[in-house]
Amino acid sequence: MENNETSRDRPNQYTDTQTDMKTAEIATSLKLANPVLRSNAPLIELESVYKTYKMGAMEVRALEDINLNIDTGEYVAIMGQSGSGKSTLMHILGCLDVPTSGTYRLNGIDVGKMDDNQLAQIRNRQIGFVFQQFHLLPRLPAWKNVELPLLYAGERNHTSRREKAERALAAVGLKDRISHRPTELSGGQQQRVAIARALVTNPSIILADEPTGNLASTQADEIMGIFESLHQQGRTVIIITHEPDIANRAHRLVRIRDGHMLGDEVHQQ
Amino acid sequence: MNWIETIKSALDSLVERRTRSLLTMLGILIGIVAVILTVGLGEGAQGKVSSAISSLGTNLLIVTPGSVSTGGIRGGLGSSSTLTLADANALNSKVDCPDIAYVSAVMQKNLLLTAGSANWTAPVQGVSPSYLTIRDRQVVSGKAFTQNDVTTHADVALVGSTVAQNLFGFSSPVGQTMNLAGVPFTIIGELNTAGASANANQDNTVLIPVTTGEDLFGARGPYANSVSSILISAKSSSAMGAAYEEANSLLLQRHAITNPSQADFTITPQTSLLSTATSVSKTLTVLLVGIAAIALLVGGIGVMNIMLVSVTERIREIGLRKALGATPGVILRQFLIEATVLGILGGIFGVAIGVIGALVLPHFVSQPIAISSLAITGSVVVAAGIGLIFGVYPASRAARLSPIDALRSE
Repeated sequence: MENNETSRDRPNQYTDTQTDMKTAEIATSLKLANPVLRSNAPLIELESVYKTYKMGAMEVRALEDINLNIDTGEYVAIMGQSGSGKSTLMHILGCLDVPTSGTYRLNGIDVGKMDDNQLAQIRNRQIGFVFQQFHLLPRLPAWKNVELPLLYAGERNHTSRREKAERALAAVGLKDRISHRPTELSGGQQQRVAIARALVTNPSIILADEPTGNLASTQADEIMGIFESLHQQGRTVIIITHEPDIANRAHRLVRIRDGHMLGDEVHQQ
Repeated sequence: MNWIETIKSALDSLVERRTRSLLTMLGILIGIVAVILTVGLGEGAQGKVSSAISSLGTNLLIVTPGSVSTGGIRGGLGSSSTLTLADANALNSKVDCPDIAYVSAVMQKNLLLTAGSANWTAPVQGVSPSYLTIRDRQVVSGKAFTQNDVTTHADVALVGSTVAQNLFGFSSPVGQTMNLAGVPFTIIGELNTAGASANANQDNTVLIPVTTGEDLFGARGPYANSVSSILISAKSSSAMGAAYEEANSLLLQRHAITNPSQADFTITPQTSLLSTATSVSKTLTVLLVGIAAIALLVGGIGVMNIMLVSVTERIREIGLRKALGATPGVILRQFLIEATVLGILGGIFGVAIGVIGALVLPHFVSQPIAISSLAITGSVVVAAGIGLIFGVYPASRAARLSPIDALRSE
């Protein structure tokens, strides 16, 4: 990805140090021996990743020979039609699933060999999910939904959890909707709560799966605007979509079809 | 996620599905109420039986005619009349029977009592003066009859409170006259109130000197001079065995029986009555508790059923929680706590209703129900355990769910 390297005009110093600190912290929390600490390593490294599902006697190859590096601070869209393998790729990137073969290094740590508990910790600390269906818990007020990842992170201080949740909600423009339940919010607002929930643990990656799929176009614009500003703040944003309009807003477009990567292009905005 | 947060979240989810939670708890609750009431009933009945038997007297041996161990044709206990007043007098000998403190022959017949225009039927017992000591009865007004009354065949009587009330209302019976089978008797004393024993109201009784009793209903017929039983009081509870042996050998000798298995009388220690009666009620308690345990088991299966439904229903929530970083252990804990809370709440409400039942029911069924603290604490622990055990399968199913499949399911 030579062209990527040149496209990044952000100063690397700050984010890389941050990444290394994060790696060390995670390695300690997962009790991993000898974590690979490379200050110039990409955030995400996929090396000849295959994913095969067994459906009865048949083997379905969902991903074949995927090689993809994503650096800290990039704004990437992964685009493909349904059945192309983009959801499988998203599951692997999000540590919801592990590759059948090949390696996936996140922050220099090989997550392919991790067990369920370690994967849960990686998801909790490194990845912020945004789903098409929002997936908010309907009985909880907005701030309690946002607080959930902090609970699983073992954050014991109630006040600090609430403060962090409120700050994340303010960051997506929902300062005055903190105590509303999801049913009292519009679709766009619900998705913004979900984005706040993804932000609250300050993860390495914001991973959004068809984030505008259930929204009217004006609300979709709002949401894409939020992702744009998150990117401007230096966050890594990955959006999985089948809509070219959405995909074209990202700064880098990875196309996928039938489990293969078709193209990887950078848009100068 | 720490315990407090997990418990809060479990409670939230139970409250949200409150109708279902209540119905699930009801299963446990009914089981617990059944356990508390049956254990209480069993203990109450046992207590009642043992206190009734203890009230018969202390260190008591009861000699009845007839046997329980001979071959050939045998009548039931008390159907033959082989015991005589002379047997009773012989047992009273300090030389032959040093471990026997008191002996009283008892002759009994139900008779019509009349006093003025009132009449009443009660068992009339001809007894020795020591009968009151043996049976631990007191004369609350007037005086008891003496050995002299026995010797002179005096027509005097002691009455129980039931008899006194039915013949004389609330006025004192002492000094009054009543007719027994046409013979006028002077009432010289009233007995204390003793309540109901194992099989009879001990206050519905008339005591007269044993010799007078002999005159009144033993003088004619084939059973002349026979007594219906002989009560023996041993000197102490440790002397019961020795007293039993002395009475047994003396009676065998007097009845000229060489083979003890051919004995024409039976000596029953009060303790054996007690253990027989309590073992019967214990068996009954075990049976009832078994049935109650089945009710609890059914309640537990109800918990499992509802938790499985809950896991299926909340599959997307589980998927989301896993995506946000919940480990399988945290999910397992959440569902186990929900199931255990269902069990504990069912147990607590069950105990509350069970205790209220134990307090209220005896007013309707005239059976004492003991409130056993063991049954109460045991019930809550068992209910929590049932929730926990029957929650394991649903919870582990939730914990094993793959986050992808869970998030995808509609």
